[in-house]
Amino acid sequence: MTITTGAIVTSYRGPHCPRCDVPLTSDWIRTGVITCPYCGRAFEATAFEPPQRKPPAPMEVTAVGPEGANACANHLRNAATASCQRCGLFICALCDMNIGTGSFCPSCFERVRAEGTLPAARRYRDFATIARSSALAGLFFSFMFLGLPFGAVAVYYGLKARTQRKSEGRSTAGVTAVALLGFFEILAGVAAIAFIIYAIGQAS
Amino acid sequence: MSANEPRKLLGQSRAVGSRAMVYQVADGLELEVNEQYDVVHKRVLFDDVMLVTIHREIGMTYLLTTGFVTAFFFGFAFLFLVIDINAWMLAATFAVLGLPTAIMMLMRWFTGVIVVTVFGRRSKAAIHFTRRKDRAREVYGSICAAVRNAQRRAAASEPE
Repeated sequence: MTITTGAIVTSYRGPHCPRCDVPLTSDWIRTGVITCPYCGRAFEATAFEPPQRKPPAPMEVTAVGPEGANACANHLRNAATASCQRCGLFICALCDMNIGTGSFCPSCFERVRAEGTLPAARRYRDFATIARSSALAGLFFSFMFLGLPFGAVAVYYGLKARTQRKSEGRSTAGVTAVALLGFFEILAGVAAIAFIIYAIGQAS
Repeated sequence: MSANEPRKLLGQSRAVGSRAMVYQVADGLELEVNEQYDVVHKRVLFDDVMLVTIHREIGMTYLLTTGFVTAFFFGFAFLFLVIDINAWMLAATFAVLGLPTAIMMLMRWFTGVIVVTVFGRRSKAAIHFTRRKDRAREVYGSICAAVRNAQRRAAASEPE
């Protein structure tokens, strides 16, 4: 699994020194004040021993036919406990990739995860950040008349962010303010262009 | 992950180009990571936690960035004074522009930031506390208690 540590996306390999990011061996994972053997700096820690998860014990197929159990498509000796909700394959307890969003066989699970359609692993665009960045850029570059396009982008994404925030049940005050700022940038841009056209007309 | 699942905001961590909000949910910590313009949800389950740490750090990236901006404005202010002592108004303007970052740099230098890090078997979460230092200790304690309870429950429910 890849995780984000700050801006750097690294592969997570278990507990490491929170100061220098060097992996800690099991003898350094303990409760108390730990001095990192690599960087020599101290940190306070509480260690835990998470219980080992036992894989679910699959039932063996004792009889086949209308009275007996169906066999798992991947493990013929195991009885199927569910069917994949994407391809319909019979799967046993070992193959059942259920993370609270329904049963999937391993290959379908990989596919829906890669497609980003698995609700628990969804990745979506944050329109509020785009709107904020555009509004800020519009403020900085308004002297170059770029407030107009940046403002338009801020309004567009600000409104999309408003809908997104509403559907999440979060406050929309911030994104509304950003959209308004974008609107004023558009007005300022239009006013600046109108003034230039007027000034050129006066000069000629 | 349910959209209506109650969650409590514990804090956030920021880095260049990314921001993560950390929430406490019933079975663990939920991270809402903003990677540039994308949002990704990740979890650190309490019954997977191996180590929880707390430490104070200054944050060299922050210090260098604010230091660079401060040096830029103060440097120009000094340069204007060296060139022409009568240009003190311009020098003062530049000094005032550099003042907020100078204050930010000095505050970070003296007070630092408290970081609570939760290491699971497969994922980790970090929460930075820049202002409310006592809150960091409180969150550290509450996470440890929640992990202890979750692991005790998991061990009790595990068949022999």
